[in-house]
Amino acid sequence: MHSIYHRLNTAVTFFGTVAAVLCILTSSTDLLHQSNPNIQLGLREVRRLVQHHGGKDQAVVTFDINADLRSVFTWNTKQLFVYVQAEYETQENRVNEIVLWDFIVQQKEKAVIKLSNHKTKYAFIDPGNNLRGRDVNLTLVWCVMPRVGRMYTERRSVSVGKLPATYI
Amino acid sequence: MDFIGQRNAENALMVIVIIAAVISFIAGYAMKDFSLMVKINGVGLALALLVSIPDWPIYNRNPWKWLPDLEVDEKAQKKK
Repeated sequence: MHSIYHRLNTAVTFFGTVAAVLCILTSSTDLLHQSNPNIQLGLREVRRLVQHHGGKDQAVVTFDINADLRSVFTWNTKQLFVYVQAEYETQENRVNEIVLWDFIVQQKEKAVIKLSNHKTKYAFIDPGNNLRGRDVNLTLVWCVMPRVGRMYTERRSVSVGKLPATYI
Repeated sequence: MDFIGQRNAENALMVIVIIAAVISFIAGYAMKDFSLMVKINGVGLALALLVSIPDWPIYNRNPWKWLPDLEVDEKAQKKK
């Protein structure tokens, strides 16, 4: 500590270490957090079910969502990445997940999502022709992106029954 | 800075930064405001730098007592 540069170096690095400890403590407080969002999700209508060239099925659907994700926010949350995906099982693949719509929420007050008869952002296309009469679940997934620490993901699934048995 | 002063400056630096960190964490957690924690830490760092970096007079109160200069014995040198 005999020169200004030495003292400055000590000060800044000590502050950096203390800040790192604070970041670890802050991200640990997320483990104590309990969220209980109120979510209603449903498939409103299947407008079309068609087959494209090469045997790929597409379903054009609309959905309803009423989700209150405000309780998911902590003081350490930077934003939520929210998306709706369709999940179903085929003979070839046990897991099929297709993202239909996504949304970013950066402020707690804006975390209430209310959409009615909403068109999907992304196409619901199967790589084969497996969609006729298929049992589908709609899932709301939210990724909690923290200011410091690890991102974690939570989801809620809702069964929406079968898609039409024939092309429409 | 003399040696006692250097020790005091380093202690002051560490105490101020740690106290600011504790206050900022408690305040930020209570008010659910991350940016409040950052601001209090910034103020704490600024205060710590102000107290410990410049060569304040209080850090020069205990100057080291060096031994007196040796007097060269010229007659002894010439004989050698």
